[in-house]
Amino acid sequence: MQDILTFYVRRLLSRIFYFFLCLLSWNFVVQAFLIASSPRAFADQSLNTSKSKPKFFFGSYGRVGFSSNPQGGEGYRHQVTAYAPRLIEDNYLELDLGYHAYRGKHAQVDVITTLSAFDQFFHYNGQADAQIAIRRAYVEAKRIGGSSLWASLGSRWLRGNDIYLMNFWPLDDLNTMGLTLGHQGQQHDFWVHAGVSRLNHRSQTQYVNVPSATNFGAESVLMLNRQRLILASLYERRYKIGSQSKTAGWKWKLYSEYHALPSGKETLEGSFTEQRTLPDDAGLVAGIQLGVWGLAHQANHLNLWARYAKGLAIYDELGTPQAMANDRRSWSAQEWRLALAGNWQIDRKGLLSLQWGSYIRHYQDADAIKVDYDDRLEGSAVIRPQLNLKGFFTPAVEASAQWSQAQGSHPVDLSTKAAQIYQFAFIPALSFSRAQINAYSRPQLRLIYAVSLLNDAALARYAQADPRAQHTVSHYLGARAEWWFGRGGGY
Amino acid sequence: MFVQSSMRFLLCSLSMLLLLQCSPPSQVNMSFNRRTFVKDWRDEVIYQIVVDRFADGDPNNNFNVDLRKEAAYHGGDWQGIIDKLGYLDDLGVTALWISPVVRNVEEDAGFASYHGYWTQSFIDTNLHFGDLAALQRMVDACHQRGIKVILDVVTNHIGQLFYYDINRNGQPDIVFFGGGGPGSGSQNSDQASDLRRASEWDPEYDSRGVQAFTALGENGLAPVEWVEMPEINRTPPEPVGFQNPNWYNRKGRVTVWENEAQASFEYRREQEIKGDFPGGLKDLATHRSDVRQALTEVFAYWIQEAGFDGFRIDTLKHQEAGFFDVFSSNIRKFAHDMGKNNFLMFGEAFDGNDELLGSYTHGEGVDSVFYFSAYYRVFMNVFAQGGPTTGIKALFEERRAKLSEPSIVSETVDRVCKLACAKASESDPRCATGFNACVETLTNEGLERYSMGTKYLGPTNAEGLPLSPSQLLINFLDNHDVPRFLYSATPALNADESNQAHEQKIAIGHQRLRSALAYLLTIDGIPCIYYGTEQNFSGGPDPSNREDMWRSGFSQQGETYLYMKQLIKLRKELPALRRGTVNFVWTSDEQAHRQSSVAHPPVQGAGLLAFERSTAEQTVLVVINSNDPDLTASEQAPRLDVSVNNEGQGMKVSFPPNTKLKDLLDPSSTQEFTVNASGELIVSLPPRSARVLVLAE
Repeated sequence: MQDILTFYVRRLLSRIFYFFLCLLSWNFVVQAFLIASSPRAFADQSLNTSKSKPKFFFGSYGRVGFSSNPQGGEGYRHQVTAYAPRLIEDNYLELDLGYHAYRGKHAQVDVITTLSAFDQFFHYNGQADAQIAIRRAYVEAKRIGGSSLWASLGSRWLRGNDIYLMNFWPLDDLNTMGLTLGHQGQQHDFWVHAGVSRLNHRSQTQYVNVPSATNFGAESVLMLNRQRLILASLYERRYKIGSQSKTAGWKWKLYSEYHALPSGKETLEGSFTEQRTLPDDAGLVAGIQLGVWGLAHQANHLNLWARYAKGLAIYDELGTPQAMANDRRSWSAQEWRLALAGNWQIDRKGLLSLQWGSYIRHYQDADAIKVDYDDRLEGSAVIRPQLNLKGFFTPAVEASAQWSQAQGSHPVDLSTKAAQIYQFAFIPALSFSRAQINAYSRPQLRLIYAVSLLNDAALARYAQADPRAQHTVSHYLGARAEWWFGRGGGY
Repeated sequence: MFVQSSMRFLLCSLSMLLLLQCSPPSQVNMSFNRRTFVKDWRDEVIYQIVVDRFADGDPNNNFNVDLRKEAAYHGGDWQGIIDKLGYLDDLGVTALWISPVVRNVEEDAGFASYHGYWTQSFIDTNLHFGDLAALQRMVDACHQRGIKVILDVVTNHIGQLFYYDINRNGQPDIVFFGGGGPGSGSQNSDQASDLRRASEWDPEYDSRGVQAFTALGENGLAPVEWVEMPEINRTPPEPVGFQNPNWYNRKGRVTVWENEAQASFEYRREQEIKGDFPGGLKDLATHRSDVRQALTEVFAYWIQEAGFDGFRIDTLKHQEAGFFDVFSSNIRKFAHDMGKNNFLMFGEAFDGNDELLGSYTHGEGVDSVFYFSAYYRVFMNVFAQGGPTTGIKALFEERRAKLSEPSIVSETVDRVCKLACAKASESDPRCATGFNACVETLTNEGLERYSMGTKYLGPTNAEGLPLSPSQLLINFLDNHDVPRFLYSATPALNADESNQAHEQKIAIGHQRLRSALAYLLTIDGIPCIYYGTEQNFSGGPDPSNREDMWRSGFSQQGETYLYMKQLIKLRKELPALRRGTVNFVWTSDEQAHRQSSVAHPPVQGAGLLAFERSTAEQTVLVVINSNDPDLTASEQAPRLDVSVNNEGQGMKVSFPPNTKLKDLLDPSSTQEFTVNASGELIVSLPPRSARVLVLAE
């Protein structure tokens, strides 16, 4: 009885939340139209209403390199926290191909696509294939009807600020197939988004062979077809700092997501008639960001994020819940994040810059077990001072720590010690930029020597037979290149 | 160091902002769980749980679960037990016997290891049920409620982790040689050879050890090849010491049961002790001292880490009695040193032979055994099949006679007194006046109490005096290895019968179950209830007798549930039912009446059983009517509802004349029963019912 009551109360709360989200979103839209219709809205925007020729554009992000461990094998990273310093990372490539489809008085319309390739490169493994994904394929229309409104439709990401040193977006990093409506102004940004995803995972998608209706044999039908609905909204308010400054400013941002997964029927293995019910599920995210930038130097910034997530939304729209409550829902899972990151260039010439990133996170899964090894309080911090010598030689050092305290004891040895990893690295690098060099100047070619110190609890996270579990001190020697240029599309 | 400290300070400071704690997680207080929870094992009511089938408290460990297959994992776990402790508490059981906890080979030939008897690692938990912390939490939660936990352990064998490379080709095969011999279909009868076939996983018994053979003939002992299939956890055993091939008897599977009558006793015992258990479960060489030591250490580990209160030991019959002398005494000492006195070890020897069962309790062997003799002769023969109740009395008398044989008595008394006097510093009262006085006293007093030897540091009563195996026999109606009692006791259903007829038969089965329960929970020994009995589960032989408990809804309103609950309550309230002597006051040589038997008219007094349980302070009279209702008799002639014989005589009881008795099993009844001037009691007793009579206030 209590379970049923809890279920309905939870549903009711979800619906109320959803209702308010819609109300908020609608409010944003109405405001957007009001702002957009205001003659001052775009006073300082150079709306190009003249007809321009359509053109293609190309952009890319990539990181590639090679490495060695002391035994001559490929070097590897150690990680005990959900997000960790990115210094030692996989190869990855994104190729953007876009087209300015329309430039006119009604809008600026772009078609944007991004092809991604994951880690498997032919000259390393000799395999004439690759793991590729189409990450972005959407149309984006800005300045619709001459206003500050924009819309996009298709497969895309919507991202805010990240912690570069961890390759981590602490607040907003949404990847869906959906529709976004927004307003982009000098001081205000907001958007609302509705998207869906249906992962090729047994909990959402299941094709089952059934007797063919008209022919011999079987035909495959989509039996489980559970889309996750994701509603998201963002509001950002920006302020200039000082009347003289053109670049310095600060902002605050509110962000929310609501995830809903309908109930479905999973067909049991070896059958096309026997099914079990998968209950509906839901999740939400609410968070805030405070940011300041441009003080003393264009590349300087500091961001503070706080984010609360619940249920399905904790696990990212591309992930599935790791642990369920007895009713097979994830709703009772909770996560808190608090993150701080920034960059500070010591002098205007950028002789020395200091990048850092840190976060702390508490995660509690949905199962009924209160003292659970899967539940974690964890944090990670990384700092990277970088020199700028001769305008292209940018040697750096990096120190980082990962700390993860499971809320239950280790399943085998019952240890309650926190897993800890400390890593120190020396990174001689060459950075190139047409503008003044700073910590984010790319392309960059870097050599990396890193030493990682792992305590017993960190080693115990690996399978016993895993070679990585054998050494409390781990060395890495690598060479990597990273670039980005010409990225198309907003957000 | 500075960096580490700074980082920790930073992280903890941030966490404080979130009002979260940096301290390590709370752990189960093992010093609490490592103490003694049992005063006298006869006070306990054991409830047997097949963990996979009892309650699913954590769906996240439901790996490879398939509820449609009886032989697959179904999802039960230790968290499920924690969740249902309220139910068990309400029922009144005081000890849980849980299925094995160790990591198993996942599956074999389409059967899963949900039962837990296919050990791969002796020192890791089976993650289908939870991790070590979950096990600790479960035991702790039980102890917090005063419920003890008994672990099922397998010392005889491991899972199917190696194969015998009979043809020496380095891979497991079904090996065939020969054409089948003349006349067996070979095309060339002149050169036809005998067909030889062997499964390298599970070859048949060979006294010499499993032999390799090729087309050229035998080729020495077949090499033992460990398998590495981590996807089903079929990997070499752990700890690594168990990877020594010499730690296994390597003689192949027991086959003697197929022609048991033709085999000598010695050869049968040799096969049973040294052969692999059916299913390719590789037999440990438990005659070796290093194997004994290793087994002691791995199972001591579970007492240490989880705080168990006793062991149920699997397949006693397949190991040398000498093994248990070493294993049991070492475990007893380990438990004692850790703070657990009264650690109980009882074993399963699937045999109705009292002497064989008793042999495992000799010396420092196990403390007790599953009383299969009573299973066959009492529960199956009398309560399920309606056999004469004198069979029960005979079982007791035979056992007493055996235990009273002068040689056994003198050996036992001698041993007990040596032990008692050796512990002079502990001022054992039996040795207060010296060894000779002790011998004389024990020889003259109730010998059964000391028969078959007590154990050094073994189970004791509440006063700290040792209890003998015959006082600690584990009685059961059924368990996971035999069909449910209801399966055996319910008249067979016929597909041609009406639903009404089916329901009537099922109702009869339920009544028979309840009268058997009345016996189980009022007789001496330790009652053991198989999960689901209280919910009228009726599955046949394995695996059908391992039903999902959750399908019952854990109802606490069923008739059998309430009946069992009341009996357990009485057993707790009446010390005589737990510790009293047994004196049969009524049995019958006649078969009980069976409703389905037209050819067997009811006989007055048949199917009735009455016995007194007495302590110095209290006598309880238990009367059970094992007859089915006589549906053919007229209402005016209910001949089966009084306990008198054909001459109209009632039963002689030890209560004085004119004593008034009342029935505690039916608390709503105000009826009183008076002992007549001749010391006889005539009790009205409906078929398939029982009364627990005590002095009326």
